[in-house]
This record gives sequence, C-alpha cells and structure tokens, in this order.
Amino acid sequence: MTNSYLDQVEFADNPEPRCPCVLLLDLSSSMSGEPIRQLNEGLRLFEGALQADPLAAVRVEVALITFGSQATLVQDFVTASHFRAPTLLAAGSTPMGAAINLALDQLRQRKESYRRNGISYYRPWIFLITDGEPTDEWQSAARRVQQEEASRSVAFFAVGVQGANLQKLGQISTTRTPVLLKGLNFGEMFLWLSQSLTTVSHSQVGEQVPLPPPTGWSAV
Amino acid sequence: MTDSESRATATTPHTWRVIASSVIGTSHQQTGQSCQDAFACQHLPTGEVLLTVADGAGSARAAAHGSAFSVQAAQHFLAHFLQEWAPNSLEGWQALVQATFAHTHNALVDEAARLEQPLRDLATTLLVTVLSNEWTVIGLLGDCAAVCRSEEGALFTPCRPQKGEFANTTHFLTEQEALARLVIQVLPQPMRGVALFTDGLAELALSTVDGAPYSRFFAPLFAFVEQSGAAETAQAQLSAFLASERINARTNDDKTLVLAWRMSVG
Repeated sequence: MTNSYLDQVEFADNPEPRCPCVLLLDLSSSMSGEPIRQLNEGLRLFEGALQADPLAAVRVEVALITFGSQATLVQDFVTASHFRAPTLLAAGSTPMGAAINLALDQLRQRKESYRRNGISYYRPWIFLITDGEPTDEWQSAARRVQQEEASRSVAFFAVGVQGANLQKLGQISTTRTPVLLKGLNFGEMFLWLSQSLTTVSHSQVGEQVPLPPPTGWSAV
Repeated sequence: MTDSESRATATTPHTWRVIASSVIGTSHQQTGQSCQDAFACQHLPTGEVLLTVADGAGSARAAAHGSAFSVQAAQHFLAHFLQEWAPNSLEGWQALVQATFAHTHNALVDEAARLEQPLRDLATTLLVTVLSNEWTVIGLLGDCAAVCRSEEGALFTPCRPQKGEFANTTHFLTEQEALARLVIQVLPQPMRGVALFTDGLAELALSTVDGAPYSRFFAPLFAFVEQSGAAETAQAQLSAFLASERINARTNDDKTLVLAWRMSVG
C-alpha cells in the first residue's frame, strides 16, 4: 500500500537526544594493584557494551573524571561511539569533594551547550566509585549533590569498593543508598551501568525507566 | 464571550479533506502494550472541522484510556457548543478553547474517580484545533505539535511542542497547573493545510533548534492529501507510511498524523 507522494517524504535531520554520564573514579594509591587492573578491565567492557547498541552508541555521552593526586578531567564528554577506555594508574590521595564539584561544573556546561544547539537530553548521571573516603573538603560538594538531586537535575550513584567509608558516602548520596561492590566485580558493575544507560537512551517521552537491580555485583 | 452570532448552516465554497492515522510504536509492540495515541476528526454541519490529537504518558498505567477519553471529551464539548454558537472574535475563541481544556480536565478527574484510579494514571497531552473558513484555532498542552500552511504557501509552526528540561519529560492535562500551561493560537484566517502530530513524529518533522517545520517532510504530505482518491485507500496508505521501516528506524514511539487540506469546490 504505497503512494508516490508519501515515498517522497524526507525527514528533518535533527541531532540525537543525549544521555550524559560522568564516571568519577577514585585513583588513590590504595586502588593500585589488582583493583585498578579490574577497574581498567571493567572500563573496556563498558566501552564495548555501549558501542554494541546502535542507539546507545550515539546517545550516551561519557565523561571521565579521576581523583588521585588531584581531580582531573581525563575525558571530556564524547558519545559512546567515540569513547576509548583509558588505562588508569593509581597514585595519591582522595580529593573526592573537588572531583564531585568538577563533575557538576562539567555537567552544567554540557547542558548549556545542548541547549544552545537545540539538543534535547535525558537526566544526567554521575557514577562515583571509591575505595576510601574524601581527604579534602567534601561537605559543600555533598550539599550541591543533594540540591541537584532534589531538583531532579542529576542522578547521583555511589559505589564503594572494599575499604570504602560507606557511612560518609551515604552523607553525600542521600537519595540513593551507596552500594558496596562485591569483591572486585567491576566487570559486572560496568555491564549493569551500560545496560541501564542503554535503557534510558531508548526510553520514550514521559517514561520513568525502571533500572535493573544491581544483582551480581553488589554485596548486600 | 460577547461577540456572538446565531448559527446558520454555512454555504461554503470550500471543503476540508482530512486523512488521519495512528500507528503503534515498535517499543510498545515489543512489550505487548497498546498504542497510547488517540485522535478524532469531525465535520460539523455548520462547516467547521474539529481535529483532536492526544498522547497518553508512557509512565501512566491507563495512558491509552486517558488519551482516547480526552479526545472524545474535548470533541464532544466543542461540537455541542459550536452547533449553538460560534465565537466571532479572538477573545471569544480563546475563551472557548480554555473552556474546552477545563471541561476535559474535569472530565478526566471524574473518570479517574469512576475508575477508582489515581488521576496520573490517565496522564495525557492534548491538542485541539477548530478549522473554519474564517478562523484557525489551536489549543495545545504537552508535546504534540501543529504545523500550518497558509493560503500563500508559507509553512509555520503556530504551537511548538512543550518540553520539560529533559528529553523524556513534558506537561500533562492531569497536572494541577495544567490549564496555566495551555497555549492558544487563534488566527483570523483559514489555512490551506494543517498537520497535527504526536511527539513520535516531532523529531522527523520539526527542527529541534527553532521548531521550524521541515518543508520536505510536509510538502509531499499535503500534496498527498490534495491528490488523494478514496478515503479508505488514502488512510491505509498513510497507515502504511507511518508503520514503514524508514519511519521506525527514526522513532520507536507511537505516531499519529492528522492531515487537513482545504479543497476548492466547483
């Protein structure tokens, strides 16, 4: 049932909506050895899993901030199709407060850039992984996280690796209880994260996306 | 509404041809859900055409019912009203559109109570238009959109989709402050063509930067209506187009398209 006029219809070439995600990774010296090796491996899985989904590959944007000697933007926002997992080295302390502030600043800039270019976007995610506790001033960063959560401007997730101060993490991430990683199961965790971001990037207008439970990688 | 006039059956040199269809999105198909879009078209004996489109919220449990119910409530209210009396001023039409949305909102509240369901389960957007030989009247709440083609051939978007901050958010008729968000456009002239559609088609039809209609999307569609033959065949062709691979490659949402073209008679 075709029609020659309808065959001529062309579509507007609009940019894909974006789903920004900041990974906040603890590179303090206690992460060295097996933990950092597993984390790097997990990042490579994350890269591959996102690229395997055609929509997620063009809609999910990844930025990477590490905190060891200092809070560093290792990777500015790129679409998942252009994301290449780096090989990270652990060294230094845990300036988590500075890293969280940097992540929120980067997200704010990114949103402004989306708005300027008429790109619609999903609620941004910040995904924090740490095996310790902040060694810098973190209270103001925690307040910002809570304000942005309250206005639903950002979704903040915290994951503690063995040795992490979950109690202090809970004071930063008050909306979602921080999760303790089971062993060094970074692989399963990053697969869960890519699957969740993929689900969001496929979602409809007005849809509340139920995330898969963090089974397989979180210790209860 | 002071500028009233009694209704006489119009002797019109024009007639509106309407082709419309609503097709389920692939994401709802995969999950076994029903299409949550709804639409209705009605030619009144007094010459006006009523076109209404609604998109039930993906997050609402009875979204399909909410959109279908709202479309019927709005059309019924307008048709009933216009049979007795038609506004003859911008203010009159604005008041009538406001009354239509208020009535439909209240009808949804009653329906939710009857079903013993929370109001948000019926969440839906709503787009209502009245087309006559003198007026083009549009009321919009949410992220549906209307595109007009003037008698002179200009293509424009009188009502842009209303978006929340994020890609998956908009405003719904079930919200408390819904009526404050209502956008009304009343143009004191008839259009040659009007297209109404749900957000599943917005990214294909409008620039997301400035909301401008994409002419290579609309020109063939309006030509299709003008040149169409039997109504049933034309509707089947439009449905096939909306269900086509090339559309589904761009959107997995439900998609509804209502096309109206003012034909010269004689």
